[in-house]
Amino acid sequence: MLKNILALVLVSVVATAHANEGVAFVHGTGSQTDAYNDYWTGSNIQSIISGLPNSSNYTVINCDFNQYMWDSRASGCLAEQLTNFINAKGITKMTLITHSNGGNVVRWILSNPTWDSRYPNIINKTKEVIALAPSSGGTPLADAVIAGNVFEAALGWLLGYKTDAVRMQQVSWMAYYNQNWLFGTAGRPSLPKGFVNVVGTDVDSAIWDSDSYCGGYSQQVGLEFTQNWLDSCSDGFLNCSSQEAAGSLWFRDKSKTRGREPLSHQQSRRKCFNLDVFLRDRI
Amino acid sequence: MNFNLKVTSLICASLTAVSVTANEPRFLEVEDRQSQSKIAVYKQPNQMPYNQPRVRDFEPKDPDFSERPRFMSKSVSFSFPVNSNTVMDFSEKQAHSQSREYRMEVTGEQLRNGVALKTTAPGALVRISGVNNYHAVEPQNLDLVVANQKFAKGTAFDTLVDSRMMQKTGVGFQRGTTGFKVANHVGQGNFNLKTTQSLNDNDRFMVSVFEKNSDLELHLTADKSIYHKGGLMKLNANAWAFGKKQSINTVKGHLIAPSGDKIAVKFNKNGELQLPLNMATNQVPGALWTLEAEAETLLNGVSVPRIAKIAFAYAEKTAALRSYNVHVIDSGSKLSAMIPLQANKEGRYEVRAVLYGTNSKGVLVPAMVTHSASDMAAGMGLINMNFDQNLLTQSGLSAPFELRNVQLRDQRQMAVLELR
Repeated sequence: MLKNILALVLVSVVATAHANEGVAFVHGTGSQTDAYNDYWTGSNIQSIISGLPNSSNYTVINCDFNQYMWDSRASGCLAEQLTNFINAKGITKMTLITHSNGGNVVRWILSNPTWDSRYPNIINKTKEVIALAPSSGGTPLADAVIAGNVFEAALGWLLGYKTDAVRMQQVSWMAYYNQNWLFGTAGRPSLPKGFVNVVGTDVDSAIWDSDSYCGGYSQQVGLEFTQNWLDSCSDGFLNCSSQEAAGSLWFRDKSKTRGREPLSHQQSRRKCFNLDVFLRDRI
Repeated sequence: MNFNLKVTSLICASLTAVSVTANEPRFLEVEDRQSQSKIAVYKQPNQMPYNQPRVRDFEPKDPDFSERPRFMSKSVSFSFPVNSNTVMDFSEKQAHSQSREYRMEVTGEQLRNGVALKTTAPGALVRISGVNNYHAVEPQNLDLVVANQKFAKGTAFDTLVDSRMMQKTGVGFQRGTTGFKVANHVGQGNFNLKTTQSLNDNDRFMVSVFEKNSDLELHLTADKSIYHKGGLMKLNANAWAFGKKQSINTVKGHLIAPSGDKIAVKFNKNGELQLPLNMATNQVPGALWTLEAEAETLLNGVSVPRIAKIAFAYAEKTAALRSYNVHVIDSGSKLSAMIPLQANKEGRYEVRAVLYGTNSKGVLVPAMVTHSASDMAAGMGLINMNFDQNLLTQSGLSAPFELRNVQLRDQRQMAVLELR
């Protein structure tokens, strides 16, 4: 028994010493073709990856997350791009940085390894998932869009079109998927790798406050209105309870951000209030 | 059927079967389902409304699996470590929701003449969107009459979101959607909402009202969240306010397919519904069905509407676990089990289970959660579960082993078939 434990420790030490670490950025709802610029912004990504031993070991995922998380255009596309990244760069330990619904697509892969034979290798190579404002428990705004958009499937940057991904993020739908197909929520088996949440708790949109302009002022104003559908603790799109429904808490915005600024839903994917620095230091 | 999970640990030199099929007749399964269906009908009380959605109400469309990629057809086993402190609950859950909102459809003519807006608490949040158009009903053109006092041109609202601003929320509300929040000082009750805009008579609009501060909730509860074809859904709609159950005047509902098709269902006067489920199952794998209930509740003598919905899975029972003993096979360097099942259709099936092992005190504790999936032909077959030897070593657990919480899933339907 003791010999076995010693052998495991030794293997783990050797593996760490020779780890080739990388980072993948996984966007939220929507179909992306240039998430580097359009979703995350280049300056944000460059700041974060400077924390890697080899700063070329990163990939920015571009998939169609307007689909259900299990759809081949969503998790299948993600599996393909992650597998290509792992193989091309020889990655042995990978941190996945997800935003919003990207956390659900990653959680699908982590929870359903037999769905696709590429999933086990991705799970084994994953060191940790850092989930920025994940929509783990869904959002009442998805319900509002599904109920209210009778005439037209509108385009929005939060939910994309009125699509399968929006349908899936309705509160009652996510309750079912969490209960039956996804791991990491209360009463369910733990995810095979760490899944830590960064939680946005409020939206500031004062016109005189320059911090309201990080990520775009008009979007901040919009989020302040959408807060009306949500609990007192929300990032304008998701209740804190949804963001904290799966995995474990890394931090709630104000406990770490510069000036104790809250991270609205759009700011949690941007270079706002030192979030990039916290991510850089953790990967 | 009894599925005996009395587990035996066997020391076995070599046993490598992965999946076998047999041409066992499947008539028994069909008969089983038919008799279950008969029992369900027999048990239905006379006073309960009988809703029988017609199969052809939802056009069947078989998903095409002919070109499934290779990585979705390989046999795979994967084990998750289990922390002995983790509480895992695999029991079947009810579907439940609660709502403080309602919707009503009105015409342009009605909005010009004034429509009743019922509220039970200050601060109602209202959205207006087109049903057959994307014309905007701007909140600054809305008057609200409250107990003979008229608040003109949006003065009753403390938040006004015009159609241009609503688009900037980025949520994805359709063009022309507007919104407002009734100011707290306006209070609550039966209001009259009227626009001064020149809307077309036949334009139709959806007025959605969310009463965040209301104590009146409609609760909708289904006995399960997973149903199979031929099953029976039992549903209750109850209204609650101030900790007391409120009487419901009327309640009606819709069953909504993943495709968006709707069919009306009827609740009885007690807000109960028993719904035999015989719709076509092969719509969108993994997508859920919705049951939406619309109730008129009496609160302080005033009728107030509420709409609630629950989501549930509905699939064909394409396979079943067979009632044989399951042996956990310990071949020294490899721990595995073979799970027998009867597949009514060719497909990809997954078995999940929790492996328990014995600790130094002789107590069975969970060691790992294991998933195993294989493509299978129709007939009798076995799914081979390979347990992770490294996880077992790390756990320090040993024989005797036991499998608990065995589940069977159909991955092509993305359906849970059995939970044991």
